[in-house]
Amino acid sequence: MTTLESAIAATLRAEAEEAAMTTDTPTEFEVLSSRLDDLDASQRRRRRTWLVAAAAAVVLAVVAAVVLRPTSAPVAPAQPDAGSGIVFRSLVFDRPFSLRLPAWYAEVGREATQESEQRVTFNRCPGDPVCIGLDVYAFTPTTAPGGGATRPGMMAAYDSLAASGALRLTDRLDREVGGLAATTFSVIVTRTVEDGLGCFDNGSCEGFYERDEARYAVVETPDGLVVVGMRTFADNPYADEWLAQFDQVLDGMRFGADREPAPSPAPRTELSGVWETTLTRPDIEQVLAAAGLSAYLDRALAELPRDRDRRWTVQLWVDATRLRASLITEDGVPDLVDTRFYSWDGSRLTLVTEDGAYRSVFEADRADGRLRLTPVSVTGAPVDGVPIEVFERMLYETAAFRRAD
Amino acid sequence: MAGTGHGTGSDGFPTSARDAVSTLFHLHHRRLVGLASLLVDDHGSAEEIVQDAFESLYRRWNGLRDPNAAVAYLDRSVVYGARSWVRRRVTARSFTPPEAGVEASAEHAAVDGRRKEELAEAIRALPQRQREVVVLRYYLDLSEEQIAAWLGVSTGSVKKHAFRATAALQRRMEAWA
Repeated sequence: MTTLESAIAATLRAEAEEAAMTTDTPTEFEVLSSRLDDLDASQRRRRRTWLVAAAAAVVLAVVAAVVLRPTSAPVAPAQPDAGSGIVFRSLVFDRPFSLRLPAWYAEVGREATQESEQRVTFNRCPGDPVCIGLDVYAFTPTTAPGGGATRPGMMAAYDSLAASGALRLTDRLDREVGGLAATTFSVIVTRTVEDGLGCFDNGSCEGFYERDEARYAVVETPDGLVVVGMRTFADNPYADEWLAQFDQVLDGMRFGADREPAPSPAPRTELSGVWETTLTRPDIEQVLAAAGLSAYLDRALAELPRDRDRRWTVQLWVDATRLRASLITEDGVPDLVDTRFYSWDGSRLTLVTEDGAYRSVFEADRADGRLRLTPVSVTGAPVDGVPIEVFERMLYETAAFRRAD
Repeated sequence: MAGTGHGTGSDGFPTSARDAVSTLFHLHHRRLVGLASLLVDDHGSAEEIVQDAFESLYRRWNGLRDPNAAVAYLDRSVVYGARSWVRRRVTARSFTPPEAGVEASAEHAAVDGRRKEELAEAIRALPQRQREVVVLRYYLDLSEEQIAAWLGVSTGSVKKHAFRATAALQRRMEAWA
């Protein structure tokens, strides 16, 4: 480094230090906290939280740690993948789809690892010898690469990245996915492009990452473009074999009106199907008061989506083993708030989270074709200081459910 | 679904988005304000750019594949945020030494202090792209290849801007000598 360069470096350090010393970090932290509170409030409608809060922490840990390599030796996939026979059906994703889960994922779960309006992830990384992930994205047209309005536009944006030397696109093929026009291609990333794959409506983006080896499909669905990707680490010796199964996975996808109607072909129970009820503030207030839980009313209501009419529709999707509860907001968007395994003996319903941390038993009254639930025992740690019983009573006890299927 | 859950991951990093971003804020806020202040001319804007960077990190925490990459993400967000700020203020780019700088200069009796102040002024007076290259090269210690990737330009372009910047600074320093 020359004398001038040394002087430049020293000057910049001194300038930066001086600026750093004049900022008030505690005050700035209060400002940031306020901004994040506002952000949380605006996104509350999008959150599918309370009873799955513990599970969410696990999901965050998995997503955040995905850079870790598997802890045991990678394994080769079965060729061909026989498929699992289990159908995942999206509830909150912006562009509805169903997916016959590949066997490698069905071994570890029947639900998505992560599901939101714009992203669904089925993840077996990290720490898993299979170590493979499948993502379904609904990028926002205005911010997606190439404008994202058309499949050719999206592909042109990826071609542009390839031309810049960041990517190599191979095995490109125009095909149909669920009867819809699509383009599939494999990607070898030579330089990470953080926002290269596409962006969501909250401003965050998904990119191409040097350590990944992946295969993608851009699908023109009736509700807009969907990008599907399957990824593994480039140093997985069986990467090619795993990614070769991507096209089989696509064979099990259906979109829009063609998506498969049932979440699973498993046998039905008496409760299987869709149930619905409507919550109102006075009803919730009454139920919590009767249980001596009035003190938590405001905090419980704060977890509900904002709704001008102060009425909330609750829908229960029940298959042979799982119960999923969604709140339907005034714009008709379902917001998944609870997903648990259940058991049913004809008069008692037991709901248990996947990790066993939350368990509730309800007495069930099914007079007149309606389902009225009353909690008789609730176990599980409070969420943000609110006892789980508050949420159980608000969601399940406030009003009787009627069949909606 | 940012903001739910608490605890730490296997690498000791908080797994809750809120906890993780709060931890990063306390560790890096001052440094990032320093970085932003090298790229924009007023302190309030530098603080705002850093706030935006942390909010952006919080928004995309779920999509962040490597928590260890969060710091680099913040650095880059600040550089991009500063660039956006400069674009919004492009008509006001002709350099006017800030009042605080004048006062600070007057307080420095030592020749070294004056020279440093003059050099700082000269850096602030560089065209924005040259100023970015200088800050990334000599403050963040990035390589030419890294700077090219950050700024979305070729390595040759980085070399060109770096050469022009150091030449301009050299001339200014000689003129003041």
